[in-house]
Amino acid sequence: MKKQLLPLAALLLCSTSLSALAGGEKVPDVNFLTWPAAKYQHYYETSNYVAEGWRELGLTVNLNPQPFPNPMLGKWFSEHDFDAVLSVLSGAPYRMEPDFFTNAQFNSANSSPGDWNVGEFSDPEVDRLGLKQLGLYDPEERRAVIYDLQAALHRAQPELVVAAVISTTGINTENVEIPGFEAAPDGLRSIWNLTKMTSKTGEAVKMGQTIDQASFNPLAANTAEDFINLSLIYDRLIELGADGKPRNRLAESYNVVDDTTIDVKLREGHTFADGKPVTAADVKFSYDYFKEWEAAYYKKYLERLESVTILDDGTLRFKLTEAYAPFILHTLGQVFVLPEHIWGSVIEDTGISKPQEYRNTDPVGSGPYSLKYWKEGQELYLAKRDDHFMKPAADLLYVVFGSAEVVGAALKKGEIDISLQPLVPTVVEEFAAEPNIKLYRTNSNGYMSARYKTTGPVFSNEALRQAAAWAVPYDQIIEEVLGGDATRSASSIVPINGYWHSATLELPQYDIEKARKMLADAGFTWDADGALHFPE
Amino acid sequence: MRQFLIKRIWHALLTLFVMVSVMFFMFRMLPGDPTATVISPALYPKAQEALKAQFGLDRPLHEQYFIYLRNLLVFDFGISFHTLRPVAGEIGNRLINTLVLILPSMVVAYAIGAFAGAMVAWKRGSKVEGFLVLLATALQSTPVFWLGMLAILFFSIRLDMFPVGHIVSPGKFPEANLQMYLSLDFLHHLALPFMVNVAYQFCFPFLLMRSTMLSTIGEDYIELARMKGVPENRILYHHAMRNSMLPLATTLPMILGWAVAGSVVIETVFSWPGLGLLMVEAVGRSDYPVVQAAFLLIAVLTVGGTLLADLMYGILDPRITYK
Repeated sequence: MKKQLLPLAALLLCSTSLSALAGGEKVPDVNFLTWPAAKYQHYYETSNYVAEGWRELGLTVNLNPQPFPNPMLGKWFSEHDFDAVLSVLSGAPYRMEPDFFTNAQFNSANSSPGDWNVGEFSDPEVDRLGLKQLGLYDPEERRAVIYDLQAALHRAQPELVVAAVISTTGINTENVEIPGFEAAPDGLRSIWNLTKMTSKTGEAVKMGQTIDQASFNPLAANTAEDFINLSLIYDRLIELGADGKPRNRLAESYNVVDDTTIDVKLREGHTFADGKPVTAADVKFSYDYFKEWEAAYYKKYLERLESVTILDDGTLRFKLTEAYAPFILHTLGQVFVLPEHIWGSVIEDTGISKPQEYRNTDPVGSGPYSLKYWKEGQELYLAKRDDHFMKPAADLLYVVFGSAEVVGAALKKGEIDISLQPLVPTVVEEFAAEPNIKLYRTNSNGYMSARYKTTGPVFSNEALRQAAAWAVPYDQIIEEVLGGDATRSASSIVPINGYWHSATLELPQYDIEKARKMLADAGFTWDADGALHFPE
Repeated sequence: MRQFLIKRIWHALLTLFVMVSVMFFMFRMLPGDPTATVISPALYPKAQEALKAQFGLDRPLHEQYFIYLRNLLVFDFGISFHTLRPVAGEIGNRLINTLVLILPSMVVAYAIGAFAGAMVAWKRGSKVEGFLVLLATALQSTPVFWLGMLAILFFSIRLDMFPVGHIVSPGKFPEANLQMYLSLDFLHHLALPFMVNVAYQFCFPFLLMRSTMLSTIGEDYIELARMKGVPENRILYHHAMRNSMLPLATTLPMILGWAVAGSVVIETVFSWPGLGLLMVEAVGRSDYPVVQAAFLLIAVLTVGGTLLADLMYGILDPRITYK
């Protein structure tokens, strides 16, 4: 019986390979992880438009909307359970550091669950350039490599960049003005704009948003909103400029001695809000403290810091374990300087087991504002410090609302002066007609993309990824889904990040014919049903 | 009586225990890794582990459950994942704001509802009755968030009579003290959510009172009172209305838990910093300890209210005896 079957089996094998000659295996269905339509309509619709384009190439695309944050984040960042995912990464100042959206996201070393290389992408050229730029402190030199890195990513297409989103916020010009507004990626929320906000009424500037502060403990905080207010109360050595370049803050200057040694000279004569001077000892204490207690958010940025030593009264030496150019922005630009005379004894004083448990409801920092009061879930009052070198113009009052729509209504009625919450696209036009409301359009440095799982059965094929980029109706998405509030970019470092963005890369257009030709040239075929088959 | 009391309290406690257990596991059975929402999966892996250990989320589920039960027995509701503060304090602060909104509007809604219900039943078949019954049925089936949004649109934005939300004007009261609750500014902010809540809460007592009255009016003793020549007003207030109050009075404590739970919607619409808004925020950020404690509070109010209603029956209605 078995013997009789053998020739038949051989025949079957033969016929399979014959059909493979005619056109390889059928490309499996695409599991496209995306956002729930009800709450994140424009994200969902974006993925829908992308999927429609891909279907024209002969792919079968199944949209897989999952509740956000859970389980979507889990499938996206931990399980990598997708062929493609609609990645929406918000803009934040520290993400202007060019390493973040390139090497950190696509270096093959960062593929473990929870890390940023969610598509498990691996490319020797990208890895090589990624490591190289980490060791270059000179911006000009580094930029050349960052350009090459963007070109390599553009060629390998580990993701399909859809658009960089623009958000619109507004202020009531009867009560406030922002002289010298800087077009920062975080718009009105940027420290450079907050400190410029000037009240015409003599009262605090009232700013509406929907999110309340979670924590004033710099070691426990881990949301973008928390960090903004913490950075108003606590100083950092370096502050990221609106243009993406480092500006000195508590540091008077810094000097890269060699690849692993950085000297920082401290600003003289500055004090904490309680009148005690800010010393080099406080700075050393802070870095050691964040590292010793493993403050979750900072762990990654302090990993390469070996030691901090005080050279003389006003100078500190940071010794690294290996060259790490993002150290300036990611570490010096993020770690807060804490007063040692408070935090040094906080554990003994309060009987907690870790500083992360400390509520710190009465934070004492050296920053441009100090916390006057905080009514949780309602309002937060920051009083300006006139003796601070950043020269804050007015007191700030954050007001928490239940929804973005109500924030808009409150702005219109004059109950608040500023909407920090992006205005809903549908009311933007209506608000533009109001004489006393000035709108600010902010180009975020975050972006939307379709991230591929490059170790998966579909998108491990580079030619397919390259062709897919030409099958997406970009302009339609920007006009119809995002209400015109978006810009295109060929790179994950989007145009607002002007210094590092490579403008020479070709922008893929919506051109199905070209995309199909690219596939055909790479050996892809289509069967009678129009379904796409891999090359043999 | 005493035996009855013990039995009823025992039942109430059992109900709460079941509720607490179901809730504990329900929240943790949500799809995906339950810790993923507390601890951002985008966070560095080692950092995630450290955070899990900090909250005890690295222990097996049954162990977490027993720790939770043991803590509940000593009224320790844990600490909020979000603010790292004891949950009891978090909830206490917000509960006051909810009660200053809910209690007065409940009382007013019940007073208006009961009186109007009695009146329309007394004047059976009037045009006012038809209108009010229609209105009450319509209001009761209107989603309260929609009613609230319409009220904001009309009274706040169009007419500019009331603020769009909040408990006081921003920046006016740095502290939530008695002075704040007694200020005109507070009343100005209270007015709109109060009216919406009254409009919404009034339907149930109105319809209940009306139907009870209708059956009371048909009773023989009303007939007898009329035959005795008791004045109509006296029959209305002393004989009919009093006797119709019973179901209403006993539903009042039961409704309390329901009304506090209902504050979720109204507080979100009006940015009212009470328990309801806290629950919405806490669910959004999967702050289990806060959500569980808030649900537990509502359950205690409901179960306690039901128990109270049971006892009230005996006091208010001498025909009922406990065995």
